[in-house]
Amino acid sequence: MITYALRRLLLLGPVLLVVATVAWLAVFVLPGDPARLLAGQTADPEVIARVRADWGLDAPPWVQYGQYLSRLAHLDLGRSYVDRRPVTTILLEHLPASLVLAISAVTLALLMGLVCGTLAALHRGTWIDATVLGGSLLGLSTPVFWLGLMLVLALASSRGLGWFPVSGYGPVGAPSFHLAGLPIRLPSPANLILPALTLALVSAGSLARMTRSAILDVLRQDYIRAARGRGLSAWRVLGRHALRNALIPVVTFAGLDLAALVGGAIATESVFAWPGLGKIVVRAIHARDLPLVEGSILAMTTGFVLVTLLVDLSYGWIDPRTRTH
Amino acid sequence: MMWRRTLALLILAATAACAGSAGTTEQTLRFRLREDPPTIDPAFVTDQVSATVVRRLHAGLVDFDPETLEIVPRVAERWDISDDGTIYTFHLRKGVLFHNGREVTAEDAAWSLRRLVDPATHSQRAWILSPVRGATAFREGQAQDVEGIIVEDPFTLRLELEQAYAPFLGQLAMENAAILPRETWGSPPADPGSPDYNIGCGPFHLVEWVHSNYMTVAAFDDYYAGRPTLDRIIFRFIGNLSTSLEEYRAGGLDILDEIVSGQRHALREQLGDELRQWPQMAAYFFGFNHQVAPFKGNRALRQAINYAVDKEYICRVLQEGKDIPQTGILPPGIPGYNPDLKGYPHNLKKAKELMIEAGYPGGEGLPEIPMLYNTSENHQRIATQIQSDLAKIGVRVSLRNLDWASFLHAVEGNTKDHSETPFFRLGWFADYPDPDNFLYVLLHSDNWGPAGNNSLYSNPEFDRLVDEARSLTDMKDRIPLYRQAEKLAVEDAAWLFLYFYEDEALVKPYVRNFVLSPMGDQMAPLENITLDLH
Repeated sequence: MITYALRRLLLLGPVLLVVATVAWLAVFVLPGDPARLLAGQTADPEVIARVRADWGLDAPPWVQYGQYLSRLAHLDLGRSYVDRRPVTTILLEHLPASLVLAISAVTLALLMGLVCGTLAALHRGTWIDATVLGGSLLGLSTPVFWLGLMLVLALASSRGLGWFPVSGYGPVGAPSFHLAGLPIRLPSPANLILPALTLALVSAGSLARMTRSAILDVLRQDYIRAARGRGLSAWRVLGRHALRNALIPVVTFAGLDLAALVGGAIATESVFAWPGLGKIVVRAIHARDLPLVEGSILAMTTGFVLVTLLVDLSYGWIDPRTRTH
Repeated sequence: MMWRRTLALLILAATAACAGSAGTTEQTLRFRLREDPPTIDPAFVTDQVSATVVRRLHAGLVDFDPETLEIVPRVAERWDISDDGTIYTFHLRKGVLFHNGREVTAEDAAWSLRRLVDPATHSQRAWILSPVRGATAFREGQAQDVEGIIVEDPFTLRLELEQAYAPFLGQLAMENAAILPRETWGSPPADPGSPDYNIGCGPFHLVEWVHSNYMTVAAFDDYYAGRPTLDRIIFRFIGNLSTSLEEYRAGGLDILDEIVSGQRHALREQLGDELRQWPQMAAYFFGFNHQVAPFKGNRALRQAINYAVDKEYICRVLQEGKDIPQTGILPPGIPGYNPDLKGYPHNLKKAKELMIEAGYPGGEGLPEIPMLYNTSENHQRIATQIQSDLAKIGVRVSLRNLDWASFLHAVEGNTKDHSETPFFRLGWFADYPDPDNFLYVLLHSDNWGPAGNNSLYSNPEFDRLVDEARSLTDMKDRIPLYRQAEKLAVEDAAWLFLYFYEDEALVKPYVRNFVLSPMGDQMAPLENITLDLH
């Protein structure tokens, strides 16, 4: 297991090199000159040229690429063109908000998906099954942006129930704690509920369908019939045998969802003014803030690879048969 | 026991969340900004969001009166201008303090202005000091210092210009010319957003900047003009307009500076006087590329397009009664605004006649014209309307929507190859309330390309009039010249004129003294606001 994990971690190097190159190329070929944007709406060509020189954007592409790789080798993601702070600081500042939101959303989605999917499987062909299937289809096909706004209107707005804050991360001036010199803030639970619920409702649809189909599949297996034949209670059969074996596709999906949500909850972050990574990535792309775009892509890729590794390792715990492979 | 502790913590957090809301007696204003300020270093401010914050933290020698837009004293209590208009002597107030408690002197003012123009600073607004003697040489690395910045004594600063330049005081009133304490700004820290670094002499000092979340500034007790009535301002960064509106409705914001399209009529009905609307010194137009076909040398075609587009409809229907049809270059409120200019009112008959004169009767022989705009629902709606209006006179237009960076890239290809973009959206918000800021910046042939004249418009008589006007110091003498120049540009149909902006904001009824400045929200002196919370 440890060897496998180490091998996967070693693979991270080449993956990151490829991603770094693709990220650099993608940003490089985008039309739009970062120096032009930095120079302001009206700027004479000399000013633009000076800004370009300051940031090394006047060097030939291969030189810029070389400098970029050399910086990366020193674990330096550079400085943001726009707010002139180290990219690492900006990413670390926004990471907690993204992590908390993604973990909460996936946890909530897992709970909803597993419960609903199991109920649907156990009551196949009944109104419960139909409700779960219909509800999950609704969740899957609802645009997250619209769903977020509807939740705001229904549960937060003064015209709705007004139970939750409309937007934001928590009270102004809330204390923070320091980690490696950086102030880390955690959201207030009241602020977290709606954005997490928005993301969870969309993901729960897939998870419920996946759980339902996996459980139905497992319930048809001989060993389940054997377990029942041995007189085990229905709940014991479900808990010890069916659900555990049905978990692998569900955990895989939830893991990928978690990884994707860390940097990809852009619409939800926008609706709830959530200070996460998605927001800064979009802003960086619009501003052609190349170091921040590249740094964000690399950070997200690293996160993705690590989460998929954890998911892979969890298979061994869920299904002991996979440990030998 | 654990759950009790958790509950206690939650109650504490909820109590803290209520602090600063309208229910307490502390004077805390919650103001929405669409994003984090890209910078709070005065030297780098080029956008309204940054200016809104920087104007709270800093002060310069002079300022604009936010309502009348006259130049008024700030740190300088008075100034003298030599008869030939080339020497400005500023007399600084005594007892003006920086947030760190040190007194502001003429040395600080000189250092700050030098920093702005210093090539090592790389300020995009170094041009503010270009009229000063030796500033250009210093900026280009040909001189060790700016000759024309002279400290006469601790409270007297003399600025000598190369030649008389009327808009100079207006430029000095821009937020970029703020006075900074050299002991802190001389050595930039790792975090340019830190409160210890962002020291100024403005009415508020920076308390906290939680990126992508909020920024808090607090009243500066020793502000030279008296402590602000507000204790704190919390700038909340909320990009989404629907969310902002709900936050405002729920009481989480006291002022909302932008309103989501499609809601104005409903908001007028629901919130009445809370929706404020007032003319702004800004124009929205589409540029013709004057150096490429089909617009090059074809004034009749440009005029036909102007007559064909129904600006009244755009303002009344698409903009929901916001904005004013554009009749000239200079917006209402700016010195020199000419209410007698009629522009190009909607007249299809005249437009069709002009199409014949232009050599394209009914649009025959005229190739499809690509029209560029940057991504925004508003631009999309207006571009579609223009396309539909122009189809009525046989002008076929294809719409191209690009993000801002790609848009600028495409538009500014003009200066190099004169070919890429014949027709594109533009807008302009005044940097300072002077006709020169529109006429010279946007239409003078010295300013072709990214410097401002993206239309590559050129008219020697227009240039001559503007050049003459900017060399005079008395506005009364300048205005007739600017008006003549403006008339020429309108007759030339230099742009597709659309509308002069109106600014708008939702303001809670308990907010008193919120000034509706024609220069935009960033100019509103928030320090004078009081919250009538009882």
